[in-house]
Amino acid sequence: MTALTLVAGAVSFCGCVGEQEPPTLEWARAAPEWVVDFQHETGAAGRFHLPEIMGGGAALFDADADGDVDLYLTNGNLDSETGTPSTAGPRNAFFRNEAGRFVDATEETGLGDPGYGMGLAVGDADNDGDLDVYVANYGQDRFYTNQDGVFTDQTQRSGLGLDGWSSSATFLDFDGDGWLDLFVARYVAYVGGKRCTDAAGRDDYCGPAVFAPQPDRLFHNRGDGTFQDVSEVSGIGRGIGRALGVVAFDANGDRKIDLYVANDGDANHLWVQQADGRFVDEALLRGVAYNLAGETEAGMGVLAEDLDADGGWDLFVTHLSSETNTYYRHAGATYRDLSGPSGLAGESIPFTGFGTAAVDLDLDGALDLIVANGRVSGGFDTEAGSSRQRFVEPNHLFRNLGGGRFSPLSWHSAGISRGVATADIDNDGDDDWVVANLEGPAEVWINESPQQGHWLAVRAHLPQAHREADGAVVILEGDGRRTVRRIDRGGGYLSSSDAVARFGLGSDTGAMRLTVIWPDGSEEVFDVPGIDRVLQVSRGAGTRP
Amino acid sequence: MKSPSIAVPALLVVGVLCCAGVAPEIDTTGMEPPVRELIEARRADLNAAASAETWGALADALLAHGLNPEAAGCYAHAAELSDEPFEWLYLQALAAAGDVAGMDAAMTLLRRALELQPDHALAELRLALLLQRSARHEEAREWFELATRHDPDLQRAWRGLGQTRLALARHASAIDALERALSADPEDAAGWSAAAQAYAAGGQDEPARDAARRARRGRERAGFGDPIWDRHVLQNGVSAARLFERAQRALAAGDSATAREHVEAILRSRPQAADAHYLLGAIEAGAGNEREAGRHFERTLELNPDHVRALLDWASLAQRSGRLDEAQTRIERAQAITPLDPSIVLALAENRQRAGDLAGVIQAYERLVELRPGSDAARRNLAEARRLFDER
Repeated sequence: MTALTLVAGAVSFCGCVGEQEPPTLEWARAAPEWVVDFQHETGAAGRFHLPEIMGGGAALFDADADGDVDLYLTNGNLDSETGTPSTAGPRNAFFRNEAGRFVDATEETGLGDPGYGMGLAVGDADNDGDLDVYVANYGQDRFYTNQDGVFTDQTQRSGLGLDGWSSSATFLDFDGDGWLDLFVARYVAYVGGKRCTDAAGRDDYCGPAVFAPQPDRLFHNRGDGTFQDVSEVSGIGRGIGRALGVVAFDANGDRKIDLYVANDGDANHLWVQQADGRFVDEALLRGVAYNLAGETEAGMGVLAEDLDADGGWDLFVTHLSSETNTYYRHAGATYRDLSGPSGLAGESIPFTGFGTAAVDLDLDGALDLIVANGRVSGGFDTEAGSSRQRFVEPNHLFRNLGGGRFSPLSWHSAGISRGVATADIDNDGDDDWVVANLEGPAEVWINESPQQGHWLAVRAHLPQAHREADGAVVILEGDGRRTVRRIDRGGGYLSSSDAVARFGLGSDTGAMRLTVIWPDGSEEVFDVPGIDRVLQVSRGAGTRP
Repeated sequence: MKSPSIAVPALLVVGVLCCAGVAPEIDTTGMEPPVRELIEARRADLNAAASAETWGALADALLAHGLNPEAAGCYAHAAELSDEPFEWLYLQALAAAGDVAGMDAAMTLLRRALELQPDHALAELRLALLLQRSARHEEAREWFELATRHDPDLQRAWRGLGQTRLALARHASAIDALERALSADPEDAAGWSAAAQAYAAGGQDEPARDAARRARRGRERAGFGDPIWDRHVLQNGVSAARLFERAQRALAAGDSATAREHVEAILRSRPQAADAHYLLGAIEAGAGNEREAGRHFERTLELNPDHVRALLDWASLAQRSGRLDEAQTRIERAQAITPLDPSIVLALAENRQRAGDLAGVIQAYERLVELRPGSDAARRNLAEARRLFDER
């Protein structure tokens, strides 16, 4: 049995390579080949500007279509006096996966966005066969289109240059016209210079409630390189909330894409798409606006996956310390907050959760959970490592025990963790992940966990659109087992993961049947010629059920 | 594997040891001067004469300013030295529970307190809330039931009882408890939210939708009336943040003199505190001193041009004195800051109505219907405005 491998960045938070204990996880070994030369910076200088503590995101995607995933990381860049974004400082960084190591290719790809980087959304928005990138900034957002691995800033032309403070974003084809639309979660109208203190009068970061919430935005892709803001007509613009996380999925089983938005201190939104294409917030009615106690929580990261293997999408939201991370289990038309019985509540109360991802780490057929933690209050001076250290918290990995129950493993990372992105970085069949740390190095974790058996990864292609089928659902049946997975790059916190449906099969090697529900709601069945491989399926090549 | 729960007993032990013998050293770096002075004075009293009262008084000052672990240790000493330790144990539990690692210790302390005063509804409620927070719903339900039995007027206990019954999938009895809670506080958003889920789970779709609507319109309650907390902790808060809280509480209770006293104390140490100027304006407005109120709202807006409440209250004063154009400007400014706030759209409608601008009224109500599509009142008002407009 092998181990989970952590590769921390070249520079640790105290700036002293090799002087501290390497980060560890129970199943860990070091693997220096995946080191990323990246240091997240915010420009913090003791002025307590809210953007300083929100961190950044990571995206894992195959930017150059060479069959392996590359890595893109956002970086901060603040004018410490005014709290406004600055362009004179660190930029976002892009790393190309070259034969088993990440090489800095920021300059040659054109992805060195100078804004104050928050979230990343990845998708082939122009249907030309390669993946484009939307950068959600504190400041003006940016949209980059990809041509053979080189990116061009199309912000102006596309109409996607939102200003203010965007957090997470996700591409989705909400109207089924074959073009990827865009949802952008918006946080607060931040104003620098407001002084906030703790109960004893010591300066501290203001909470989000001090600033006005911003309505989220939905953009329709016209298919000609431009987008139309449809927030108002779609109903999305009616929501009030300080949004940090978003996931697009079919919440009510009508084969239309819905949206779940995690808000920081406000009721969450579940935008359910109606027959006429408009969205109505049904979060309260379906039991996912508040926690079980009817309280709003500080929603950060969010995911929608079948965590209890009953065929329905469950929701999981990470929260502030003193709150639980919340597990909303799918129960017919509604959801139930079953955080307590799941084992996910108690362990999370002391910690502030941000990034999260659901991956079958040990390939036993059940989705495990990754949660990245790191505090947000108490103030730190970047010059003083000791005070900064107080923000560092252990991250969590929850093993899925089946039946909606989880068991925790915590691991100690070097940083104040925020975004998490997943993909099979080393192409060995299981999911690995990257943690984006605040004011610190990014960490690449290579999964070599004690694996339970076989696997199958499915990539779904839309030939007419020349792109992968983001938003498709893949169902694998065999040996009395039925497993559902979504193909989605979004979810989590500020991050974007690889779009693949990965199935852990355990010891199952028998005959299997694969069904794909395409983003427009149509369905096809495919043969499974073998396992322990990546299976490519194309729309039109299967049979109608 | 690191287990955070290891820290639970440690918190209590460390707290006790830090206070043994003499007053503990407290790091007051960065604290506001009144807080520092209060803590130092209480330490001096304790060093002069150690007793349950002096340990407790220091603990009160510490807890009032968020120094929970230190406060917990000092309360432990107060409880040891006291012949009637119930309140010290109770407060020690609250101090321990303020730290996320101290919840188990807090529950143990509350059980000890309840051995001394078995029917104390507040202690039962506090224990139930901690159990609920720990997802121990069956135990929480039992304690909520005891609290409602010993104090049937304890609204928070009825709501908690409903919530835990909901968690235990006892939908009918959850609705009973929630209806009791909501009859006592019809604006309790969390109560309506739980009721919506309980109705929906029981297949009662229409009541569920109605409850959901009321939850959206309701208010989130930060806490509940606790005379022990108020006497020991709230009354000892001297930082600007705590004084502001005390001023708001006093104002809500109709005690504007005390509210004014607290706000003036804030402004002595922080004259640039926009919220304090606003509160002073609200106090003056409540006393009918509109000129003074307007002056304070102006000052608030000088310090924070985006202060929405000051903009709206200033507009309200202007409206009353017939300066409708000025009111309009301020309301529009508030709307630009928070364009989705229905109360601002309502203010806009009212101002247009006073100005006799029916087209403006219609426009405002159209916006309100967009923001609140489920509001029958908004639709009725829009229809009435349109009818009047057509009649003209």
